[in-house]
Amino acid sequence: MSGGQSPRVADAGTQARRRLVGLGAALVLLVAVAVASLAVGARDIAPGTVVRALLDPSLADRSYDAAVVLDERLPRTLLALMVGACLGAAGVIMQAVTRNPLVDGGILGTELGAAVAVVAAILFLGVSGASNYFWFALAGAAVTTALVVMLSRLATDTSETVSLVISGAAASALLAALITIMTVRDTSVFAHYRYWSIGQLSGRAGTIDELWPFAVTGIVLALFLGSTLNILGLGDDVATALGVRVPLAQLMVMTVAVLLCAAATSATGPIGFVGLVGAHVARLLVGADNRWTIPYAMLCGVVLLLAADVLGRLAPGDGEIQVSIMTAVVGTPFFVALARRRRLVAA
Amino acid sequence: MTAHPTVELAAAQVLAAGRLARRRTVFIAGSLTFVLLVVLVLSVTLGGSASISLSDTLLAAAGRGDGLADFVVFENRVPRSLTAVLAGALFGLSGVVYQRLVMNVLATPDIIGVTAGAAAGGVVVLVLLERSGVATQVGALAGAFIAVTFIIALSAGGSAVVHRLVLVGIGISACFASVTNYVLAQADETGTERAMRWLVGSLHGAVWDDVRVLAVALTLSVVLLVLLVRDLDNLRLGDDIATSLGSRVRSTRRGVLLVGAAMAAVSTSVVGPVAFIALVCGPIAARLDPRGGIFVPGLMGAILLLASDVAAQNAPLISPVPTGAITALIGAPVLVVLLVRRKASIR
Amino acid sequence: MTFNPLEVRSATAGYGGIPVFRELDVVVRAGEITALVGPNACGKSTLLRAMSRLLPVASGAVLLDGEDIATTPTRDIAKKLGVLPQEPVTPGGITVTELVWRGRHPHRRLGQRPTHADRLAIAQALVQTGTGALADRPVDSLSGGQRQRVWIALALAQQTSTLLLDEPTSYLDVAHQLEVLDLLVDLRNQGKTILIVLHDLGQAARYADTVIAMKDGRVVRSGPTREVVTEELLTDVFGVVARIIEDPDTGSPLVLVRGRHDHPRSSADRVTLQP
Repeated sequence: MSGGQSPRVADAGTQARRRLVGLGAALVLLVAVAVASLAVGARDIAPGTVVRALLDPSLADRSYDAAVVLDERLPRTLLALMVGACLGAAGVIMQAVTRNPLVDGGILGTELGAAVAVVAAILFLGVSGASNYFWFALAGAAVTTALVVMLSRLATDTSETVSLVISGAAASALLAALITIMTVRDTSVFAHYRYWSIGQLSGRAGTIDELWPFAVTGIVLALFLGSTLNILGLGDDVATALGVRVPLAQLMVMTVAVLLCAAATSATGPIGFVGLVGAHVARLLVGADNRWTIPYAMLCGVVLLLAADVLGRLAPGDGEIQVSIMTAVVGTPFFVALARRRRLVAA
Repeated sequence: MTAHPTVELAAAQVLAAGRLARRRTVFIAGSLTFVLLVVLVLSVTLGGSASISLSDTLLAAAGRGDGLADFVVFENRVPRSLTAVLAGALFGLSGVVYQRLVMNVLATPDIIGVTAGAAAGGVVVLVLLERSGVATQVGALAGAFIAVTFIIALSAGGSAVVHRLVLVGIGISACFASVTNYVLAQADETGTERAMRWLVGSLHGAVWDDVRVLAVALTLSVVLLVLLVRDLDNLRLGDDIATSLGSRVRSTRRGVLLVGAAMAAVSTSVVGPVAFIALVCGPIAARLDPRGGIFVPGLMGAILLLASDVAAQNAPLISPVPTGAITALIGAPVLVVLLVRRKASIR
Repeated sequence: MTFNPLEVRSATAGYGGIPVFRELDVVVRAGEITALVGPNACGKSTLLRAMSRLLPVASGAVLLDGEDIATTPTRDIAKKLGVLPQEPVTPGGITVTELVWRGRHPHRRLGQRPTHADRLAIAQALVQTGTGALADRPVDSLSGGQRQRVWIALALAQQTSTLLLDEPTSYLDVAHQLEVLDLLVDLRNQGKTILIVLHDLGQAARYADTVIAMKDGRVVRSGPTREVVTEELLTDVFGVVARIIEDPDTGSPLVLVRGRHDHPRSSADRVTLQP
């Protein structure tokens, strides 16, 4: 029986306001966390010094603190910026194209695939140099993602949501075992390869110079994918009815995500959960419109990565906890909480 | 519709079909047992570097040799071979019951977090406490136990329990993997080497005590599984039909989870997290014996691990190599072939 | 004193703490086909699940042959009550015979060899549902109608006196729907008690002996089909205008629903809908 209320259309003004507030909050957080990243560490440096060093780079010659800020921490922070943005955007894209809120570059095994390819290239082909790594990482990431998607379609009797996640987990298990096997014969160099299985920001800042073109390409491409993702999210049939060539669009979109993951992994090794959490937080702030979610997820990804890194540096003792371990520790409860939501699981 | 036979005739057909299926199972189980014995003999006579004459070997295996033969064969090869048999059976069984519980071929204790917990526990003891042997085993068991507790607690209640269970398990697995990574990152070179060796999975240094532990675990598990397996088969028809047939859905599920986890945990604690045995036994057994009992997968696991161990010790060019490396090399392509040939249906 | 096969006394049940029905009383009489009808979300599927112990009741009781099912061991219930839920899940690769074998579970002990009684029950189930010729085929290769009959065969192999079915005809084409419904009549004629949730009121009117009409978690009317399926009921429960005549072949009520474009012959026949 009709005659009820017409559906409430979201007030455009309220939405725009929410977005701006969200953006403002995220930017403030970003600045705070970035300053923390520059200030905190084995040697805590006052924010005042940090700011002065940023304003006057020549200070590095005269002040040890300023040198630490500019030569060590600033590149590290910039690396986190690059990697966080790549992973955040990749997370949104992967979730949108698979229509699965539980995936990102880590869950699908994309990053591990990239890492394995690079390790194999180093060990068996003697490859060196971050920009060379990138191409192998791209190949590894692409093959792994394709395999995982195919694998998930072959598994029976399980909901699609769960099937994709399981396939990713199985692939990750295999790849992790592969890395262990490749490096086990030569454990004296495990430390050298450590960051290919345990993603980290320390000592990796040098890769920015060679990898930034790939990362920026990916980021720029991602920013244009918003409307395509919106349409793909309506389902294959509806998208086709609207005139989109669905398989082609899916391939194109996924390629960008794989590119982003490969760039990030070539720089730091596999860092998980940044895409997952970043995408969800972005959606909370901005809604499901992918034209907005992608840039916001990039921002959130950066904030998350920097925060995890800073937390890792605050660990007791001399050392620090690698950033991928921190993101896993924080990201796991998030993932588990997501998995427990009933609406999600009843696929 | 064709004319149907009278009820008695139909009953006779049912009888005939049942007999045929049972005969096939017995035939397969018998053949596999024969194969197992052959490989066992091979393993005891070939295994390792010391070359001992066949007659001395057989005498020593019976416990009646002396000197070098006795030591190498009776104290070394026989326990190692028996460990492979028992641990392989435990892995195979734990894999197949999890696969049937979740109805997805990729859902094994490796993926669902049990093995990750065991690995983390073992590595913690190996590296941080710098103890090995029994201590590592206890650590692995403790780690697995903690993982299972989390998984059961976090996935309880509501609908779609199995899906939630898988997802939570994958999350917990990631968490424990990061613990393992953290410990590895802290380790020095010797610690790293020992940890990596253990993580790949190796039967080196297996002793009679290990055999006893595994034998007890296997016996207990098989008894419990025999009690659980009929209700587990009903669960595959859906919770509703299973309940209407008189099965207790929740307790069966929990029982299978716990018994499967215990099996995986005990064998992981002895031989380390050996890859892939748990994964492939179910699909292979399903093709050989469609009736789907538990003996065929168990035998399959025993044969696979034992054969891998023989290969790991004796194969030209690549040996000696940890057994886990061989199982991964064999298991991965086997699984892919099985999946591609037919939508992997788990009986 | 003989008990009704199934009785619900003042039961309240729901999901996630929210009751779908409160303090409901229902009686299912022996040897009849009882149809449970009502619009979407009226609680009929929930009621069926509560009656088959798939859903525990928050208060009140469900009595099976006079005994409270909450305190009866589930295996014993399985010997008296068979259930066919909506959209059952077919595991891959299983053959018809193997699936129907599962129906013997409540009667078999651990490690017991298949008995003659088992085989007879299975054979009988196969013959009754006309699936004997399909015995060795994988269930997932069958048509919708054939599959539904196989699931009924599973419930029949349980050899229960009562059978509950949740919308067994929903996804079938017409011929298969009739196959299933005619089978249910055969079973009723053999003395089984059948409770079936149907969303097609016409089928309920044609095949059921007793109709229970629900709306918003309440039983609006319950009784012999002829008495329950009336024009007022269709208006009250389903919110539609209808004309009911006697089926010229079967004598059961034939429901003719009238939409906006259907004008009755004379204004005297017109039933107006109260807003």
